[in-house]
Amino acid sequence: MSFGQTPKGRSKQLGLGSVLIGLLLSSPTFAAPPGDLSELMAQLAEVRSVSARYTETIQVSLLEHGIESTGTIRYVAPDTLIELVDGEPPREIRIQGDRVRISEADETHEIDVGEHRAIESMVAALRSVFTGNLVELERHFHVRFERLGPGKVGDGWHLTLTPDDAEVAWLFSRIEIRGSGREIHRIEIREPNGDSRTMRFEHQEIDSPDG
Amino acid sequence: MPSRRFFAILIPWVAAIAAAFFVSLHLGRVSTDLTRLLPRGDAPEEQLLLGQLREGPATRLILIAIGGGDTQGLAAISRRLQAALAADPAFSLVENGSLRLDDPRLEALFPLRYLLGPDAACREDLRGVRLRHALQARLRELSGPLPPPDKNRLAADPTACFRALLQSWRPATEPRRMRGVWFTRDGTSALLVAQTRAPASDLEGQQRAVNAIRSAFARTAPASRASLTLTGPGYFAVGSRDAIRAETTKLSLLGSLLVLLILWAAFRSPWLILLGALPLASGILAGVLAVQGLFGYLHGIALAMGLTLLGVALDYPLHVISHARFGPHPELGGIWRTLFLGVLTTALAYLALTLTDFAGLAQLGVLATTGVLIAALTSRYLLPPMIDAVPRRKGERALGLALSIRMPAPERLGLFLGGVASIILLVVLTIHGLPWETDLRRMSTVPAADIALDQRLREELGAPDVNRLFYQWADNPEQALRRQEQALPALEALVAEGRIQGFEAAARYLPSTETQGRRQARLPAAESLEADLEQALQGLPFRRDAFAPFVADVAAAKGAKPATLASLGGTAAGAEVASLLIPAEKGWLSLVPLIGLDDGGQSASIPPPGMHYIDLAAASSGLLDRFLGETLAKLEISAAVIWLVLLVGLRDLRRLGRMLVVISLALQLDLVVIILLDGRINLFHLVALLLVLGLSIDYSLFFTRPGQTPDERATTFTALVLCALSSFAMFALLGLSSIAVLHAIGATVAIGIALAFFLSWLLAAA
Repeated sequence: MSFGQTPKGRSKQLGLGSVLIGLLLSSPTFAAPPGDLSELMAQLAEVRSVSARYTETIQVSLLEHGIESTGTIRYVAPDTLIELVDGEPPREIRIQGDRVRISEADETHEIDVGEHRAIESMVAALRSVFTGNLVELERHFHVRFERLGPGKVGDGWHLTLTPDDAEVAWLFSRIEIRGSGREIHRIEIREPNGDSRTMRFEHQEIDSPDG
Repeated sequence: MPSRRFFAILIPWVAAIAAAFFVSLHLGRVSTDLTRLLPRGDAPEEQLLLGQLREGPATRLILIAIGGGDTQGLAAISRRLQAALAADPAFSLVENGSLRLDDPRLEALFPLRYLLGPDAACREDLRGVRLRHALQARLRELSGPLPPPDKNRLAADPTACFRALLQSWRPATEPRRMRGVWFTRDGTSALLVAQTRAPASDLEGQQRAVNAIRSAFARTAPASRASLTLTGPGYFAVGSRDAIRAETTKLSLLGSLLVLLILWAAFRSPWLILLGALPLASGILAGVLAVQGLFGYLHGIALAMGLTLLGVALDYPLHVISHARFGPHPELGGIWRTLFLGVLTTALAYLALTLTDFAGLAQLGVLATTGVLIAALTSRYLLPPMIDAVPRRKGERALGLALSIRMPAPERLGLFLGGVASIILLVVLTIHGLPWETDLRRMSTVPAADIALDQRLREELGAPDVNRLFYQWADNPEQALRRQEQALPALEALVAEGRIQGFEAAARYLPSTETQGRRQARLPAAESLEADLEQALQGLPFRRDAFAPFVADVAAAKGAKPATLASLGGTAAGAEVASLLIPAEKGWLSLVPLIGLDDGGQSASIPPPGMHYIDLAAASSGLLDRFLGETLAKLEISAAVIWLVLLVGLRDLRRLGRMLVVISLALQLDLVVIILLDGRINLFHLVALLLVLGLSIDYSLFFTRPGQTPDERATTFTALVLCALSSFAMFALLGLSSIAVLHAIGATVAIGIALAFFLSWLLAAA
């Protein structure tokens, strides 16, 4: 019985936000706007790699104002994600398969994703977004797909993921992803108590067969 | 149809048996607790051992494995099963390794964090610059890639004291976790642990718990490929009771049918067959009532073994009926003396068991001795007039005469065979060593495969070795906790030296009231905390009033009543403490189970001052050793007494010599066959050998009866064939059972009967 996220005292934070970013970054190149969700998923499956700059804003009720951080993120199919957080010293978070490695200055920690229910569920489910596995995605989340325009290139879309599992929902009540055509604009992770974290992306470089 | 005289005896007799049956049911607490067979130990060490065996919390664990399916599906079933069982009052604790941060049971502990938690995060961090460092750490976590899992508690707990508390309670070894729940190392099965409220010896309670698990599993895993595997002491007890019950019923029905057929072939009269059964029934009930009267309860195993030993009592009515119907002299005078000697010596052999201080064996002795005597007396005094009242049929003697075949053998053959048997026994003993079974677990009625599975699951779950531990006595929980706190530094030192890898101790979860009081004194007063907090918040982006709940909680903890056993309630920690701090008759027993003890045989010297070391496995096998030794010693005494009784009763050294050759040959060869078949001799074999002793006394006595006419000899022979055949049929069936206990008893007795009968025929026939 314990909080698994913090073995041996020192807080080891897993780059869940980065996982989301990576997964979503992998998905913004659409040859055509998706007619429906399965079409979107089919297109996501083709992405080979993505890199981008990001800005993250964290809103917490304990704080007077939001905290902002920036960095670079890179995803390589099928399952590698590297996030570099700007700072002195910079922090690197590397996720490969089920292993997570966090390096800061001279310190490195490794975590097995499978040890932590909420994280594993998120990683597994969101990985299914970029591998285009709709069946797997719907096993973990209630998925709502919404088109914000008539369906032409450049029109917006909106994906809402609601976790089915109570244990995951305790940490995240909702994940909203907004994009338009080839671009993801932002990912917003909402927590049950009203706190949230929002990530915006720019300078995306996408490698896919037709990109 | 028998005459009225027959019914004049039969009706009151059957009525008496029925009455005795109902009285016995009424009196009847039948205990099935294996440990009650063992002696009431005087030494605290034995009390500890027995307590552990009987009611220890470890015995209330049911280990659950769910296999057959993909990881995700199994994890989902594990979660649903955990939730379903946790809500069931039959269980005090159900764990599957999931980290349910919103678990309502944790809420009860949250207000206690400043009294229970470790120094650094729960007291030292509440002051001055350390408070500021703690706030900075929380800020880093909040701005990190993942919010801290206890984010919702930070307003009341900015130093993460509760997190540190739960961290310090984390077991030294934990199973692999996949999809957030426990799995076996190979990842094929999800693991859960359920602790029942009912003690392991409460079979009804255990049965309810097992049923609850099965039906919850059926509900939570409908139509899935997943399969449920259970192990654990209570589960095994239920399973073996059911298996034994079913198997015994089946085999004894079959056996009774066979015996019935044999008796029908001999007597051709339902009335005579009925008469054959009545003395045995009377003997069993008299024995049961005697035990219930003397001990207040009857042990299930004593009953089962008692029924075995009373197998010899089936012979008495058979002798009486055979001689009355087929013999040249309807009156019993001739055989009664022989029968009486047989009864007396058998009763003496069984009586020796009552002299042991092992309650179960003493019960067995009382039951068997009483039963044998009552069966013999009813056969002697109630049967003859009833037999006379059953009309004779024509040609009744034919069978007896047809079976009369003599097998004369030279007397020296017996001595020769005896010598050969002794040499074989010596050789077998030399090869096998002393084959006494002293491992209590292997003596159990549980199939070996299930025990292996249980051990594997225990190992997977990383449960500490419950066999080797330190223990300490105290007058009350507070004293126990204080003593343990004093020993903690020495225990930590043992870990540091590498003598042990780890240990469990109640004081780790629940500090003594005294310690909690000292901790309260160290908590800052409200004004001082507010001032330090204001200082610490300087320049940090937290809201000024963000930590008001924190200030309030520290103030509340400073004035709170210290936590007790009850405050830990239904949490895993509470269950842990309850299993380590046990109320006993003479006080409170605190246990410190050791993990990874590497003692090099020096364990007894390492316990910290005030604590004692015990190896429960060694202690229990020592107990069993003593038990077997004591039983054998008592048997030696009774063997001497039996020999004397026979000498006085027979006044014939040659006849006695022939009998002794037969008896010792039968026992020795039986022993050799068992060792070759089963590898070891356990308690059940030993009891079965006692019956073989009784039967071989009976057979050899009758075969060696001197001065018989050919007619008399034929009658005796018929009676002996009937006795041996019916007993053999009954026990050979048991010997075919797959249940170790039944097999051990059945095979030993059946082989013994065959040996005793043919050896008597060959060597003793006068």
